[in-house]
Amino acid sequence: MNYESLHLDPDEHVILEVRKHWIVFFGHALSLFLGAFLPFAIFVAIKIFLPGIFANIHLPGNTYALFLFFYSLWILFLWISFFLEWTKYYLDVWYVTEKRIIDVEQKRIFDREITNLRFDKIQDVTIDVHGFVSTMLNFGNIKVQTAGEGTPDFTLMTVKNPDEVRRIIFSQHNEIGDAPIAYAKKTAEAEEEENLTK
Amino acid sequence: MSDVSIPKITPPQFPFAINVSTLLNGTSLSLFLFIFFVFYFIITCVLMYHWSRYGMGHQGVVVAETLFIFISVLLFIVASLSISYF
Repeated sequence: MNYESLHLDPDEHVILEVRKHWIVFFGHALSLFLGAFLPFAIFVAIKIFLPGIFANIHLPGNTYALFLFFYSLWILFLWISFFLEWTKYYLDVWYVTEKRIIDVEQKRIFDREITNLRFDKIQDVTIDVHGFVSTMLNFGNIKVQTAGEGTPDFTLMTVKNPDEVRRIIFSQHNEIGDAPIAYAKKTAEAEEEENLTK
Repeated sequence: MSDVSIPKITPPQFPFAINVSTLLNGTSLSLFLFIFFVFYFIITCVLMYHWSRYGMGHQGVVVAETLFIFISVLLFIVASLSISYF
């Protein structure tokens, strides 16, 4: 992986990437799939409700080839719109490193917001899984509450496996929190050892 | 009791004949395809920029890129061939 654009510190690594559950994207994908049948549905509807319209339209050349031409362009249009939506879904992500959470919010294709939250600023992490579908598919909302004033809370909706995400964030938070204590303990032990040798 | 029935809906009549033969020919379809291709090219450049800049070299992005280009080329070939058969 190449995380250059995140501008991480030399000793910093991404340990977790948090994305929304695929169910968010599924609705859009399904609507595009149904959209592929729209020309046939329109044709059948016209045939039933306005049968006279075809009698008055004189199409030149091979009608099947003409239909195929417009239909392939229609599918291409749906294909492009599918990937535009997928890009927004895929690039909307949280990167959890040893030091912080980097929230990359891809609102629209040209609307991108990046926010950092250091672990020492985290006060609490709450998850919210409600409803039958969320429980069965294991997705929910995660809210990271911050301690500092003026620092906004981090919220990511419909996250896949929220329990695991919370566990990792907490373990990193604890490591950061324990680091000064561990350092003080180590220094005290070293001093004690030095006194004993004297 | 009087005989009551739902009135029949008469389909609208189109007394005019739509003559599209002057509009639909090989040249106009090719021009339409070219305009569509320009639109497609711009969108592809935008997507490629996002995938390479922010995709972090993920395998998912590489698969998406390959699939997007492959299917698009296939559909453009179908559209071009249908013009020649038209």
